[in-house]
Amino acid sequence: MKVSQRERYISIAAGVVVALFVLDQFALSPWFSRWTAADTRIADQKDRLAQAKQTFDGGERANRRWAEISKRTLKADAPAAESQILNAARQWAQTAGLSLTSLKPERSEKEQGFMKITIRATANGSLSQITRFIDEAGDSPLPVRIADLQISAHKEGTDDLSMLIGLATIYQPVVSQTAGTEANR
Amino acid sequence: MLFGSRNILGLALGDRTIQCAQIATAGGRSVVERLARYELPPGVGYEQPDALGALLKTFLREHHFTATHTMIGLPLRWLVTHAADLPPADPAAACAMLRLQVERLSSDGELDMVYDCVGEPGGDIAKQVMLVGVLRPQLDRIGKFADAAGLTPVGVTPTALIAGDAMNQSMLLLADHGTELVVRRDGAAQSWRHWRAMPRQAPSELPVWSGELRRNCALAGRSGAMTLVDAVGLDEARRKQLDDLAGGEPMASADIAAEIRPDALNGAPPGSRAGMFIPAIALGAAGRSAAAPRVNFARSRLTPPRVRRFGRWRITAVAAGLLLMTGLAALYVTMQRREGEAARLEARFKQQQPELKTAKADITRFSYGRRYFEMRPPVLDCLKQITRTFRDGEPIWVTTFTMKDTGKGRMQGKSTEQRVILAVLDRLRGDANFSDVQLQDMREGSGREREVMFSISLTYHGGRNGS
Repeated sequence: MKVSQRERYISIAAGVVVALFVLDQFALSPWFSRWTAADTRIADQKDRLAQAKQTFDGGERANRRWAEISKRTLKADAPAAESQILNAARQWAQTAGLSLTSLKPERSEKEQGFMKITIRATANGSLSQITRFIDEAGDSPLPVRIADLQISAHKEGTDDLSMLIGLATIYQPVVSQTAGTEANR
Repeated sequence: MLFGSRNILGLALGDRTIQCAQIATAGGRSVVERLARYELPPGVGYEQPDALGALLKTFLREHHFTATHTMIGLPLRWLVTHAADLPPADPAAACAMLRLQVERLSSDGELDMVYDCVGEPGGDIAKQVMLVGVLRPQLDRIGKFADAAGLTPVGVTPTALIAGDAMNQSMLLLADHGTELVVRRDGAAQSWRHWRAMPRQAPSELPVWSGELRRNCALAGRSGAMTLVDAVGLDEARRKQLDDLAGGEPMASADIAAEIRPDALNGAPPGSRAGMFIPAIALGAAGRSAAAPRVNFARSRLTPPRVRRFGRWRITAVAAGLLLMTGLAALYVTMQRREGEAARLEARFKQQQPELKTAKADITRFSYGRRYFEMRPPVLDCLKQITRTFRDGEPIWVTTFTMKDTGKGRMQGKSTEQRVILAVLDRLRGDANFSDVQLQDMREGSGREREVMFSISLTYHGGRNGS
């Protein structure tokens, strides 16, 4: 059968269209999709890596700063930490002129990799003496934090007050620190 | 004919001389920049094209010729001529017929010739065209000669025919290699003749020469209708003698339709005139012209068209296919690279996970631990701010104050007037250091003095970093 020139052109055009369609189905579209997906993954990973770098830098800064502020005063065992806070509370009361009526450890609990000890103190005195006590606790280089405070008047119209204060301190057990370091490795 | 080049060199070849003219175009006009005549040294000829080309190259450089393209003119003596009859036919068919005749001529004579035809083949009426041929070895030597001279030929054509086209009139050309006569009719060269004899030769040879001249002038019509192109520089006496020999009427002298630069004659022998270089100037101008010369052995219309091994469509299809394949390969490689980059980044991020976990733990530990050193609850600040909300003389007093390390507090007290309690409450609410200020309870006591007991809860968030 003889094929005319026109039929030949039509056949070629049809072949080209089919070839392009097949090419698009099996190569162009899938490859462009993979390319786009790869670009998205690259962008995401770059963001994550940038955030990770910020975290690394923040971790390093935190470690440096923590080493500065916690040296000498952060204890590694419970008796030492408890003794440190009890002695400090007694010393602050004495300095402030407060009459310390009660001082006792209350509880010990684990928090954020630290062990937290809370002691409760009861004292009587004037507002200025209570203020001095709080001031001493606030300015202390020890790891201490006022957990709660209650000030009550013994008698209305007088500066005779009763203070019930909860003081919290922390220590970092050596064992848990080593375990934590090993876990991190 | 020549595009993109600033100037062109017309080379009119003779047996022992070469006329050179460098033509440029300025403002649509041809400008003759350089004129020179090169005399072939003894022992060197066109049979040594490389040596001759090298010598010409040196000569051109010494005389400041800068053109790289050239139109080469040949003497009529180097050519053969045949008349060919053509029936009415379109130009393509006419060329095909002429090509057949050229093949027959070449096979009969067993000579390798290159032919072109004068005038346009084809038309509505039968006509006779002139076939002009040159030996292919001679043409090849000229090509080598131009190549050795550092020149690219844009055409190789008979000098006299180009000069005749430039004059647009029958023409007698006197050159060193002989005399050439071109008879034109209806705007095209119809016949031509050439002699070795020269009017400068001995008077004893003139009768032979003059007879030929007179006959051909008669063919051209009359001597007065003929232009004389004097490339040898006849004196007045010889010129008069020539006019007499041609038939009595003085021939018109050829004029140059181009601007001549004052320093153009830097390479011509002393006593030369620009008019003596008309053949080379005409060649250069033809090279710059948009129209191709009517006879061009370099691109003859009678050369059989080259049979393409592959059709244009096939070449285009293969090129498109190659382009497509290259594009696909580039796309695939790029995609693979991007995926590889993504995988590499993911692996790097995964590898950093343990260190990242450690860093996060360090930050968390520091954030928690610093609360015991640097971010203690601002109890005193809170007490100070609360004290400021009380006024001297107001009948109100606080019996109990409680505060947690979260900033939440509670204040209990008494007053003799509810108005005062509400005033304190308003002041607390107006203080930016407090929020969630709520009156929890307010009731009258049971005593005789009718005291009002109250309880206010609040959250202190000012002075977080103080202690």
